[in-house]
Amino acid sequence: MKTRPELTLADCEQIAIAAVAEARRNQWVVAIAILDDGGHLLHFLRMDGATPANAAIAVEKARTAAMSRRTSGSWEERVKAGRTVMLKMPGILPVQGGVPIVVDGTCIGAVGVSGVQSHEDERIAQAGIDALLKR
Amino acid sequence: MFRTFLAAWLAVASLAAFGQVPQYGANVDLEQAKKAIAAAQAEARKNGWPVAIAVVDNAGFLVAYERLDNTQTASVQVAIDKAVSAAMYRRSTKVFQDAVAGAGGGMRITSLRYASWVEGGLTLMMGGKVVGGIGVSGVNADQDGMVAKAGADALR
Repeated sequence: MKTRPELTLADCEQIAIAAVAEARRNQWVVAIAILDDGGHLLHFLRMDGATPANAAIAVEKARTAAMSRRTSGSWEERVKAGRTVMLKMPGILPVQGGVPIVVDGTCIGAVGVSGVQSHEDERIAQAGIDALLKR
Repeated sequence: MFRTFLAAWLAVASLAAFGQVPQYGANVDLEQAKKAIAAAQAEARKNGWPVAIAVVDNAGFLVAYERLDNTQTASVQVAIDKAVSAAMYRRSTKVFQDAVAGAGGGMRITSLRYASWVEGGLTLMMGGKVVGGIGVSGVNADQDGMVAKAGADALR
């Protein structure tokens, strides 16, 4: 029988604290969503000043990364490379800022961020994940 | 002269009627939302209840959210739906639950967009004004309600 690691609320809090610290360090205001690998919300926060749109987008970027097991930015790259049909992939938001959480080769969830420039959103998400995986 | 008096009286009377309905205030901010969720979480942990807790602003958009370990998957979205209903209708979801349980005309509630008719969603009030909604889902509806109440009371 296979076993697998699972994100706990404590893990999510650790990710969120590190992600917010990265945002504050740069004076960025964002929404941060953490989902499990089934695409279900585990943790969410919207910093004061982040917009309702940021709230919705952060969740969708995380869902894209969780369900596809790749960064939402990789989907943006595919579209940019000319495969515009990728805009029609179901449940995929092809915008950078969502990063999957991979432990022992298993995707156990994802972090999605929205509020600043896309590559900066991704940096915040990655900072959160790095803190959890102690990198 | 009498018409002026009547018009003035009607204006004051309608103002009084509006005064009984809660007003929307500023949106709940992140610190307040986290305070409410912390209080709700404490109540849930005290009872060993695995729940999801959502706080939304007056427009129904997420401000903060947490899912306690081992919460059933469906409750992820239900908690958010309850919070949205409480914020947008400015009343607890229990009010809708009771209306629907009464059946007959009460069933019309089920046609309302953004409404949730399961207990567990409460309006968040600060300084007598509505600032958002809190929704809890994971255990029995009345238990969800107790967790939500602990959260809402932390801000009152």
